[in-house]
Amino acid sequence: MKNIFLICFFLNSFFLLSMQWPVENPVIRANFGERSGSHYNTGIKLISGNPDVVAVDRGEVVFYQKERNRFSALPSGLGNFIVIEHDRFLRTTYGHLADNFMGRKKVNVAAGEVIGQIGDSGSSKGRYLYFEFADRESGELINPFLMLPLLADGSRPVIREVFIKESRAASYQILGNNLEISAGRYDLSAIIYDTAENMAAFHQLAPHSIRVYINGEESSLIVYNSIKKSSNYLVLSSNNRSVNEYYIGNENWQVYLGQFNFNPGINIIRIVASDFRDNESFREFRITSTR
Amino acid sequence: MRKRKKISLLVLLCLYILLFPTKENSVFKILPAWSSDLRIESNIDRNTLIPFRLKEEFGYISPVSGNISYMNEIFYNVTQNNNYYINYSVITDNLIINRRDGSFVANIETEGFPLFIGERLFIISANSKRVSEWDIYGNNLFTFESDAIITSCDANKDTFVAGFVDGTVIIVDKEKRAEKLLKPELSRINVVYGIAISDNSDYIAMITGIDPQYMIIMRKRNNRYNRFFAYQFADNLRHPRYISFFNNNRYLVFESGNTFYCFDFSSRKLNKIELSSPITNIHYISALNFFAVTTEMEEGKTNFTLIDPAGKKLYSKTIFSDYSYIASSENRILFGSNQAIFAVDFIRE
Repeated sequence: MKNIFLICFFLNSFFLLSMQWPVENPVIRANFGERSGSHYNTGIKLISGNPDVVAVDRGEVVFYQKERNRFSALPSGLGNFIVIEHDRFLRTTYGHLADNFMGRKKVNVAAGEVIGQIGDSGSSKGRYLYFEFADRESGELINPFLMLPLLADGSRPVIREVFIKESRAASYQILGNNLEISAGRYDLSAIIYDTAENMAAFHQLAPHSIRVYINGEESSLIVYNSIKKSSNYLVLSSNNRSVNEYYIGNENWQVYLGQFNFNPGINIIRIVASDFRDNESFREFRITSTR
Repeated sequence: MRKRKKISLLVLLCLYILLFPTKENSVFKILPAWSSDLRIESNIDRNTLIPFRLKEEFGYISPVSGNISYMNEIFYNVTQNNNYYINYSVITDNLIINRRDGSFVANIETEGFPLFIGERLFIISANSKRVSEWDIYGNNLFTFESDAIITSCDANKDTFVAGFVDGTVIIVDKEKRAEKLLKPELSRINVVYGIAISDNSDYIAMITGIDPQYMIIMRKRNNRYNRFFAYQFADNLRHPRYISFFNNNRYLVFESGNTFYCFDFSSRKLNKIELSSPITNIHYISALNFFAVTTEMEEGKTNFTLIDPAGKKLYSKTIFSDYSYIASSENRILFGSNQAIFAVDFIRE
């Protein structure tokens, strides 16, 4: 099993050598898996000092839509956008482009070829590129960080607050050290976000993974690698939760960590959040469960 | 002020007579009916109102008199049917449904872009991956989310269909059950560029694929849709395409850049006509059994053409406007330019 993983990893690394970021010196404005209105952000939002948007790999334009086309096109929040099909069943989407994007002018594009400029078309809240990776073979939307060269990042995620509630209870309470609870099943949630170090102002982003350890054993792993379709909704592949099931409460970054069993005695809860550069933060709580 | 208005009305009238002179051809006599200077009138027949949309304004107009009952500025976009409208901003999480007189009906707290298809109201989410249906009181009837971008959709009173950028098609029946349509995958790359459903749900038509690109009609038999007709395009256009059923499902009309196509179900014949520039609007005039089509010309000009279902050009005129609105009532065609609406009567000889 481990060997298969290693082979896949090396094959992937080999293929990805040709991929590049769609903008120069990208700054992440919104991350994969974040809540964006009533849905998951299934791509990333990027800003750059250079407005040129390039194809991340060679490919073929399979769909484009102009924001001004109100005759045959559905209204789209992506504004002006292009979908490019690459080898290995991968598709990339570039949204909110400026009006002068490539459109019908060209069908085949080379890796690094300029296909448009960063714009503010559609429902963008500023000038940025919306960029998305889809794997047509697996039917999943892939976190672009898995596909593109790693970016420098020295900042660590923040675990601001952790909450607990008895599974049948209506509301959460803040989890503190030395809390005494009755033994049983409990839901945990937490306010967790990553920080972007190269943004001018303090900016919150989704982390890459969240692990929950109960008494030293990994009890839950939520990883923002892919989003897939399940029934009528999109869910985070790692926990099968839709955006409204995962992001809870009024706080934008409060996420549901799962349901955990606490046996009588001392229980140690450790929550670890990490970003793509493996910068980690953790918080640990010691609670006492009584019969 | 009054003098200036009179002059502008006179100029409008001259322009109107110039654009639509009383003209006879072998098929029709064309008579100017009225021109509207876009003023709201209080004393009008409200039973005949139809929606209009110009470049910056929308509202409701009487095709009989040309009087306007309601008009407002478009924020970012507007969706209308005969009774209701939603005028919305590009970034909003609050969509307001209004009656055609402007009065408030309901508020829907969701982000996305609304779309009236007949009497049904749909909202496409900002990321174009979720479609939901709502009643006009703001109640959610169904929601469907996909991992692919929705490229096109259509609905009749019972059934909703949507096509996606990954080539899939879903059908949502009147019980709001979503089902994937099993369609032939005949092309190297699968994308749905346009989709339509007939009023009786017997047919679903779509423009799909690259290498080759097809227009496929699927017919329902024993609750399953099977291929009924396929037309292969000579080239691959990679942008959304117009496709729609007309005249009680007798005609299926679609476009491919400059080409207008009409499939006649009674003769099973596909008729087409090449126009001089890309098609920007298509409207069927049932009383006269022909199509009014506009095409985009060079800067500031639109060509207005009447085409019969056999693909024959009946009338053509160039208008000095870069925007077009077409509507009809009986044998009267309403044509909107950037800031004015004209009406002409077509009388069959």
